[in-house]
Amino acid sequence: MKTYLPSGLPKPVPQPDGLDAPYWEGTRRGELRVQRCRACRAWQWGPEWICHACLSFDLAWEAIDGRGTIYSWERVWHPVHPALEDAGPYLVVLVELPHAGGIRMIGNLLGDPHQTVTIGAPVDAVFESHEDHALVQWRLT
Amino acid sequence: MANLKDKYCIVGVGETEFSKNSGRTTKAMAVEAVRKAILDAGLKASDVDGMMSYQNGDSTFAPFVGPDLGIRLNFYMDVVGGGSSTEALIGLAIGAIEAGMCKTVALFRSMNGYTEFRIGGTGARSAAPVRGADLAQVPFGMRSAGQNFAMTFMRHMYDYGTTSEQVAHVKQAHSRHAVNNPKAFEKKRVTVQDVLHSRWICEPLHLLDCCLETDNATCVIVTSAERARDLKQRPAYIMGVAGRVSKPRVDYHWAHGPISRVAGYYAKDIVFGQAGITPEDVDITGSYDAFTFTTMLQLEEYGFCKKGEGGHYVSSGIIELGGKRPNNTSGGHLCEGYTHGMAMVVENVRQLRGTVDDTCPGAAEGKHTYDYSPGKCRQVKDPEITMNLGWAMPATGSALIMRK
Repeated sequence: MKTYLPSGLPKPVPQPDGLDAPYWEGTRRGELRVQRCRACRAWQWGPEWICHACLSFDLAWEAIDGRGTIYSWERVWHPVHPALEDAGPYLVVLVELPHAGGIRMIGNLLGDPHQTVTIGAPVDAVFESHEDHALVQWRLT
Repeated sequence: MANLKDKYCIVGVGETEFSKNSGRTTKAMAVEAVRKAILDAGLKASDVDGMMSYQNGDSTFAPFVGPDLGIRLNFYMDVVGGGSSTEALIGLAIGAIEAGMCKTVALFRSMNGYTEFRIGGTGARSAAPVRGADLAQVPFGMRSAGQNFAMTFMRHMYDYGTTSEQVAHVKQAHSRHAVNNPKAFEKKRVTVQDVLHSRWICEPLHLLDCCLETDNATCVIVTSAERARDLKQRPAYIMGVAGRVSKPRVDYHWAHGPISRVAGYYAKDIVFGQAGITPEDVDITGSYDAFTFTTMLQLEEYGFCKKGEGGHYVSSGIIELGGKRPNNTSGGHLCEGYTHGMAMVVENVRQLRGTVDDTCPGAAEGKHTYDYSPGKCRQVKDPEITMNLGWAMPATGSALIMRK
């Protein structure tokens, strides 16, 4: 299983109350889902029990178009975990999603870690398979 | 605290050595720092009846430190937190005294920030499972403070044309201050070029854009202006305080709104409103310089320059000793040592007293040369008002304005 970062990072543990389960189910099926308020139609990330725009508890999960743009980025050289000892450099991007109200998500930018990265560049969600979950990564389009 | 302006003071300060090998427990260090602050204030141990501290599961607790010092506490509280806690706790100490719960409060932070708990996800922290908001960052290799802030810096450069060279001036200035601070851990002048040629930690942050990691304990003592009158030191009067002011979201702060807006944007109206002054009235700033650019961001957000002009401000000479408004005259976290913000309050108290511990022969009596060349003076001439800009992360900040 080829992954962008080496194995050994702490395993994601979905919330025991099931709050973010629709997100993780979606990623396994190649679908990017985020919450949207049924009352005021606001999008939000991360997952919460309440809409932080209108305070309604009536939230739905919607699959969204995985196209976005790079809002900011960083190239990591110094390892911050034993599993990342020889992993640097690698790229982390903050991606803005215009099809979901402009909310932003963090992921890795696939490809050459030494590449020139441009704020505003268009990217597309890629679903990276792991043993029992999938991570949403990004590639330039 | 508009009606409490000037009614409370910092009357004692103390600290242990800044090192990378304390070889001591956080309790032993806290006891030393609090003892030194009590002696500095000219208080008896039994005069202190309140104690507070902050920590992240990495330190001792106030009720264990007090009794070692012969103090029976009427009030204690240990809170979770790192940066931005000092100023917030000073405000809470005023509240506790005002409520009649106690009369004099010692605040401390004690941490083996190098030998026990380093920054980031190393050591025991590396094995912890990833839950909650961490799920959105940690699986992508983003968990350290530097990584959390680098995105903000990168976007600031894009939005405002800020450069690495401009913010490197912060390290250059603070290193010049530290050379004149006998207790600074890193007493070596560093140039802008040194910063730019140091290795990448997380682009756009170089190694020398990042603060030190040290073992240290630090203490400040808060009491009423009335109680302060017959104590040993000239009191540093508290004009205004704002504590743990936050952005609309603290977790996921990067998911919504402008990323280079930090909490100081919201804190400034509270703290300047209480003090009844403007940034122009401040003689010395003490920023939370976890990184070079965090200093720049705070100075911008508190209104020392216009938003987007922080790069110019920090590279103009204003922030250096001898400049219009020196910042972190001790060398700060970048050069003196790292104890989550309290040491910069200690430094400003000493500046207001006029007794900064430089190498001027008469420093303890307030006689200084004001010669800021290497190894000499770091006392600012007759400062009236200082300000501390505390921060924990882009989304949380605290501030304190003091006068002599």
